[in-house]
Amino acid sequence: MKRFLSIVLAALLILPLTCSVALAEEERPVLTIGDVTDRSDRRIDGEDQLGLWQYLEDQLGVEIDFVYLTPEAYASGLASGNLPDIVATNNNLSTILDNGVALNADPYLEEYAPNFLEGDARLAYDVFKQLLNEEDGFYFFPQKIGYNGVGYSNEPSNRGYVVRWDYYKELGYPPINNEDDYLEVLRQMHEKHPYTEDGYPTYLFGSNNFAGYATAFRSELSLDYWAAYKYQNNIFTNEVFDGYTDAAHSMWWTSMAWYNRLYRAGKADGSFDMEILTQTDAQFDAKCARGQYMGLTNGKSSLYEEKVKTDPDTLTGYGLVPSPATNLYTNVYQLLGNGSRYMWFISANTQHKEAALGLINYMCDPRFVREAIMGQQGVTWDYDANGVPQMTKYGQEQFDEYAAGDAPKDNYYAQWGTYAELSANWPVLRDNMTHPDGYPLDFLTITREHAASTMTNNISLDMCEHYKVELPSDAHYQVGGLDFRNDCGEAISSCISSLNRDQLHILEDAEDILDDNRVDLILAKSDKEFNAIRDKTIKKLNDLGEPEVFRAYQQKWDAAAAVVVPLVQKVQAANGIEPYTPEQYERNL
Amino acid sequence: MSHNGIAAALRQRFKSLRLRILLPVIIMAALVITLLNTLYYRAFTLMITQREQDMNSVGFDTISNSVVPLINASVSEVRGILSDSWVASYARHQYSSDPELVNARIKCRDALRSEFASHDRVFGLLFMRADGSLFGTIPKANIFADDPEQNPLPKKMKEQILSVPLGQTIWVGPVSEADICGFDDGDMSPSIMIAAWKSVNASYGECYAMMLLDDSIFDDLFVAPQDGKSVWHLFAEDQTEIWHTGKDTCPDPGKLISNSNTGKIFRDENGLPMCSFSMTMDSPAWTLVREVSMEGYEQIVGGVTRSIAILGGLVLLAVVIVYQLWLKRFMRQFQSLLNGIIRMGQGDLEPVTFEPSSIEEFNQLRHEINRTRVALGEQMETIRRMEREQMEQENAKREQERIARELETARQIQASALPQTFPAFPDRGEFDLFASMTPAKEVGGDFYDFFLIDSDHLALVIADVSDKGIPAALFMMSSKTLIRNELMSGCDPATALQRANVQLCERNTSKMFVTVWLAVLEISTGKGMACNAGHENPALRRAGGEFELLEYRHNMFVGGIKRARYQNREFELRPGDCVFVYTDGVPEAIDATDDMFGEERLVDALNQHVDASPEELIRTVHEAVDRFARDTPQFDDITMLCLRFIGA
Repeated sequence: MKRFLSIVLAALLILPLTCSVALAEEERPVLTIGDVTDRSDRRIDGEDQLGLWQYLEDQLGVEIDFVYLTPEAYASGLASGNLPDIVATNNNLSTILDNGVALNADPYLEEYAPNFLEGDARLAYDVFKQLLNEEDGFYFFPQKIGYNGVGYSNEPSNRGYVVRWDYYKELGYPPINNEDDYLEVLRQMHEKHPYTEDGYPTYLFGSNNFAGYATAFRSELSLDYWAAYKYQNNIFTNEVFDGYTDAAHSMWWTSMAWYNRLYRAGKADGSFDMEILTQTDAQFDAKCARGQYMGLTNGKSSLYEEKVKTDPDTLTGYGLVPSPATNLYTNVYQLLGNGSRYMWFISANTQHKEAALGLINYMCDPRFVREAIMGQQGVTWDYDANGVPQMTKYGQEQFDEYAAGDAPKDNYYAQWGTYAELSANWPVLRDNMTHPDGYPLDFLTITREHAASTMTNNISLDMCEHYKVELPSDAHYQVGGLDFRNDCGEAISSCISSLNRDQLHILEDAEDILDDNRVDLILAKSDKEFNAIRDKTIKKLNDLGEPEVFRAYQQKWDAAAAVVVPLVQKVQAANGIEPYTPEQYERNL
Repeated sequence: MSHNGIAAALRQRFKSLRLRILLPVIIMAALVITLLNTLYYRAFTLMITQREQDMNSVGFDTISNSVVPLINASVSEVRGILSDSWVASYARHQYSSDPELVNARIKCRDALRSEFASHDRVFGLLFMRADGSLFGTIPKANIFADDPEQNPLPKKMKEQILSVPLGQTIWVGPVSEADICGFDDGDMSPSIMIAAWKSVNASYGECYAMMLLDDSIFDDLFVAPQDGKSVWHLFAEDQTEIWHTGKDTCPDPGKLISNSNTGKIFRDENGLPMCSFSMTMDSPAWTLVREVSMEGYEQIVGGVTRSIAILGGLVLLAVVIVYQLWLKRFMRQFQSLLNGIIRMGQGDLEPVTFEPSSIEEFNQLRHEINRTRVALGEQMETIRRMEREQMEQENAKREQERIARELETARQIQASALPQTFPAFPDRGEFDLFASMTPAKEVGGDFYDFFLIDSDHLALVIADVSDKGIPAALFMMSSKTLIRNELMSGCDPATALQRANVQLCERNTSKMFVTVWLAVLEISTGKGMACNAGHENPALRRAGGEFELLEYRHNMFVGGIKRARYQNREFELRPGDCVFVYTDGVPEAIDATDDMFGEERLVDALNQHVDASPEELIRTVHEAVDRFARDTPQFDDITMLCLRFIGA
């Protein structure tokens, strides 16, 4: 009897406790997050993030609901103000401000999101406050601030002298140091292979219609196209110049000269593809996939991917010849995150301001970002005796399983977040930024060892074997190839407001003038004819008033550069990124 | 058990009456259930297809009324494109330099792209010159095939387009976007329809304009008739699929179209039930087909038919159980009857006590079985009796045959005992002698004998035993032997008969006797003595005369009375005299009227050929008897002996 009474008593005591816990569960505020981006890899409501978001919910004491905002729903929300608590957007920020739907978070940051006022995130705060006229408030939180890419490329294609690698190897890997070398190599390859293995005619060089006229194999040009329109920046000086009329520096004009050379070199034997002047992207892609071009503006993987299906050892594909003209899209520091296009804002009508800011605060915390990427400490990674973060055995197994593809649902990274991709799209900090422990937030894949161990492309392997390097990027670096370590162009351009309508009209007309003369320039029979057309075209642009527009843009650029460049250089210095030297600049000119 | 064994067991099983009675019931019940299901299925599908007709009318009207105007509007809108100067310019295709050519292409391309960008229903615009060269644009390709060899369109399609009469629009296709482009990036429209017409202009000459439509123009049209269970197909005249709702193209348009509007439910390539409806538009003559999934309906039908089947199965089960119970009783009664029949077949004809049956036929059968049992018993008794009689007859016959064989044997023995070699004494010319005995069917008691007692004395004997058969024959043999022995011992005829009589009487338990005519002739003289012991009168013919019966007193027959006395009668024969003796078989031979041959006919017969030899005389008498008796059976031995005395 005593035992029965004690059980009843215990039950009576436990019941209210259980109920209170249940009530507490029910009382958790529901934080809604809406995503307007239409890029599937940025969707936030994937089931495979359950583990991570459950962790966040527990940390924040909230429930998080995800909503995908269709354009119609978003437009309606902008008009009515009925938006989720947090909105991830890539839309025009001024529209959001004009509609007054974003919360001015400035008064609350110090209390609820102090992490945003520290470290790299703080730089974004300062830029926004100074350049986007946010003195009276702060509304937008960038995503993925930090370096885009590292210099450990293990893929064969990038920007530079792209060739069909199997034919290039056949020629004995002749060095290519300039356009003359490149054209000669292309000519020899075509001479040996006027037709592909499938009987299609081959051409010296391919490009995809007008958008592809920009040649990408001259580092002094291809490194600096972050400026809008045809304005270009110099990665060494961070100056901007006029791509319409400055024919000496203009990527467009240089391209015209290159294609004119190609025309004159290939007109007689048909190795110049006349269709590049009229073909569609799809037609161009089809030719690339057939391997009809000896060289390309950018590497295309379709040819290799198709061939390797039937020949695992194939070298048929496009590869980038290591040369001083090579540029590697690495070490680009994005001060405002993903090109200033992906921002978060908190809805002005939110009832969960603290929770929303608390979430932002987590996203700015390198400790959380490390966990978002690598998983929980003690589970998938931990420090060794020397204080170096290492993957645990379980973590490595789970990662290997995930990296092999088709990981089961119960895979840790499938649950926790797609490793270094989806989850990394959310944090304010990029995965290659530094943790307080001194190691990258992603200390596993942001390594040379990882890049080398995951290199499977035959062309990359062949390149490494021939140039006796560990990674293809090493081959490019060792012959003078450059990356974006010194470039502030992207950050500067993302901080510049648009030109006014009249100026834009002038640029539209300027585009028409260029377009109208494009064919004549490319198909000019001689340098004399080319120069005459060029001079006539530039005169038209000058008459149009394009240089005045450029000067207006240049002023905006210089103003932004005055703010951005010191900040970026500060970050670069903090991250051990050495700027390019004047000697390097001279050499690349 | 081997397969053959199993098969044999199954065959045996199928031969069982129980199964053969039960099986038709089950089959009939199954047929009824199937028939019900089929009728229901047909009725339901008819109802459904009728209902679907309503949707058809909506869909077909909506689509057909929209497609044609839509197409016509599109065609009308783009008819004037060739008047565009850039297009017309490129159609002329007369350029002196590469920049001119490329610029013309770009202008032409931009003009066309601008044109079909303003007509969102138009997929692309192509133009074919009379020489077969092609130019124009589609979303993924700008085509400037100034060399006719580079024209990517199928040859047949080119010929169709080049032959289109002025003022007429034809539809060709569908052709895939990949075929037009010359590559496939995996995102190509599979079916492009082309409306083509001939355009002639003074500035650019003859050209064939082609307006391309992809299936996107149909998307809106087919929204209204969507009902979630239908797939709409649009086929060109050659049944090539132009467009369809749903994911998959139709793998067998012919089947879909041929089955349309028939009310038939057929199976698609995945085995799913479908029905289809179609209508063919006037111009273009495309066929619009609505393929309706009957899966939902079939589920309903399947549910009901399953219910019918289950219910029918239960009813069938109940019927089978009840039928089994009844059949058990039936079979018991049947088995009882069968056992009765089996027993009857086994020869048990005792009446059987059957269980009373509710089946009248069984009662009748039971009655008939018992009646048959009785009749069969009687019949069997008759058969057994007849068998006995037959056996007895056969025994008697066998006995008769045995007796006949014995009699024959006896006759042969008897005959062998008589001298039969003639001339009996070939070296004695003093007399001519012949004798014969024709026995009746039974062994007779007649005998004759003649022998030389010595060289001058010839004994002649003819006798007739009083009875017939073996005893008479034996009696005859005894008599003959005794008489011969007595004569050979030197006795005269009377003494010989007397002595023979004594001996025969002493052993004559059968009470038989024998008549004997016995004579001993002295050959040298013709004199002799004769003794007639109750025998027929002899006939004598004196030389030159006729035969006459010698009637005189007879002695007692031999074997009758032991003390009887016999007397000789002397006689003398002269050369030419002839003595003829015989047994009673001759005069007592009867004809059909039981009239006897008689002594008179005998004497007459003898006298017909009085000078004949003894043998001829005997044959003459025999023939006379035969003529007299005709077919009347001979019932007594006919024995004759004739002696012609020739003298020394």
